[in-house]
Amino acid sequence: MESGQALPAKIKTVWRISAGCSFLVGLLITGGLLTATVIWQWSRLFWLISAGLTVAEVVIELALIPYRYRFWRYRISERDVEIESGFFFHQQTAIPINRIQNVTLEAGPILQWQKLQTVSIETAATSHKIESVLPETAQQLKQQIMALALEAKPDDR
Amino acid sequence: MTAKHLHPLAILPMMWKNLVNVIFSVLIVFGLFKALKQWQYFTILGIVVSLAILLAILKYWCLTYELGNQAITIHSGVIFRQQIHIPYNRIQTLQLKQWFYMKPFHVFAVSIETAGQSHAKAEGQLPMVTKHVVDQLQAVVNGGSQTSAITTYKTKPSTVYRINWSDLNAYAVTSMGIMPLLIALGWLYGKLDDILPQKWLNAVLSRTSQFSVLVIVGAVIGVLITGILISYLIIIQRYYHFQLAKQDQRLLTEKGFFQRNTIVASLDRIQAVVISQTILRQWLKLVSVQVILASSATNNEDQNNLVMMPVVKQQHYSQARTFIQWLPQVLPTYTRISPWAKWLLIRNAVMIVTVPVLILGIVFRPWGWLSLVALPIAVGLGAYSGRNMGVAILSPQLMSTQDGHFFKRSTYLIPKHRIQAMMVTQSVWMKRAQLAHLQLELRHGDAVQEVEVRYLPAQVAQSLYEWYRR
Repeated sequence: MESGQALPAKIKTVWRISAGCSFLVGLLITGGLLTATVIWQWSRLFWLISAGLTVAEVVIELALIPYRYRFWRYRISERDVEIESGFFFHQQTAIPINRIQNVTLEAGPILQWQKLQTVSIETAATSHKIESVLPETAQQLKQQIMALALEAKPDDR
Repeated sequence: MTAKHLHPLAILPMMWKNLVNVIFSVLIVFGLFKALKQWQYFTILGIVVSLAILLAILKYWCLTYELGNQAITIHSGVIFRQQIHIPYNRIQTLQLKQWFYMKPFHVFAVSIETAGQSHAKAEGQLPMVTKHVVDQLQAVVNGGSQTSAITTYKTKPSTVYRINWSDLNAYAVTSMGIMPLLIALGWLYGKLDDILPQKWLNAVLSRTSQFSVLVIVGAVIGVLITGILISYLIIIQRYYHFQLAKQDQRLLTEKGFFQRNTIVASLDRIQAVVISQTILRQWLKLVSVQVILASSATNNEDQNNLVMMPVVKQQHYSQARTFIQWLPQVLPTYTRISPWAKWLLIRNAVMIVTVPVLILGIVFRPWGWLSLVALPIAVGLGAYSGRNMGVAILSPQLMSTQDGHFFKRSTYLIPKHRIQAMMVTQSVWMKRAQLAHLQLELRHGDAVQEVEVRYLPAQVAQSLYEWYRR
């Protein structure tokens, strides 16, 4: 599905910010452990491990962003929605339009600030997400999917 | 139609429920105030019991139902009044339960369920109504308006399957229900050391040593036989006089000795058919046919599936076709996975148990190393899984998968339009070996059931993916 639609480039910023957030959380935990080491003479091992994990996690997360972006694709056709993601663990999902029960658009604070939205496509069983799209694409997508869902004859249900 | 009350017998279980709810707290209160006189105890107990009875009567009084022309309405609640309105044509499954004590009164407990997702609990519940009402309800659910249906309802179901005694017997005997029981007993035996005082145990042991090993072996065998007998009886009880019928577009199953359980499910709620056999039944060529239903009526059943035929001979599987037309005449030949893929499954199974085995072995030396027996079992599980993994396309509208988990083979027959989504997953290493996992999402009850075929040849997985998208 190389021809699919890529996510908007801004999503890379969002991922970087969220990596930054997890770095902050890691720093806080490490700080807490460091304080505990100073005050109650906890083993130095704790804060060293925590610091190591924090740094490693952020480095890996940042390093993977280009790949994550490169391999995320989605495509909406007359018959189905296809989502493709992952390099090391590649996954390809097909959801036929006439199985879609409803479509939800949502955005957390970071996504809102970047003016992006997540599209979540719900079937009778579970939901699948297109991680982020521009608001106009989101509206368009929603309408397209809903229109197709209305058109799609419930032939085989 | 006017609002009706339940059968008066309904008060008894309500009372019982109330009593069970309060009696515990009353006992706690008694424990706290030890200084009370006897008559004070009795007064408190009296007040509590009469309150429970009174509340049950009040609840009974407030629960009414109405069988209207188009819908059933249930009013309930003492303080917070609730009104549930269920149109007949929205009713998807109807479940009837009859405990043995309800039989002489010809009353049933009815659960009414629609397609709405209300999580685990049925939308409408009538704890005790008479046979007459049940008939009426079944009639309106089966066909259009109420008045016309009552007269036409008398038509006999078109197809019926009844379990015969030898089949039921075979089912119970080959059931693995005995296994957890044995494990529990083994655990209990292991705990004996901690529970019983050492002195006492020693005394018993020194006495038993006179009879030597014989007594112990005898006791163990006795426990085993009792366990087997109990699990056998439990299963016989549950599937006693099992019966499956097809009526219009509905499946109707009926079973049970102490509690007669009837489920009426509409055929178009069926998401897939599962044919499962444990390794034991595989040898004996017995299968069990079950149905995955988009309904929670089957939450207490075998793996939450609706059991269609508890056990039939493999060659008699085609009997199921008379109930569900789209089933194939014979089961297809499956595309199996490659030897390399089978090896990967064994490797994974062994890898999963290796860490716990190492930890157990090192921490609880030397007895912990006994857990090494888990390794050959893991190899067996992996090999079994590999041998039974497979997939087949039967028609443009029907596919089938097979897998083996914990020495149990499940064959899924899945119509295309019931697959909610399909996924092909592949790691970098699998890409090199040209392998891929195939996952299907089905609706099961109110949730999702994922069916996975692992380590398929990549082009087979891809061809199924294309089949699904077509």
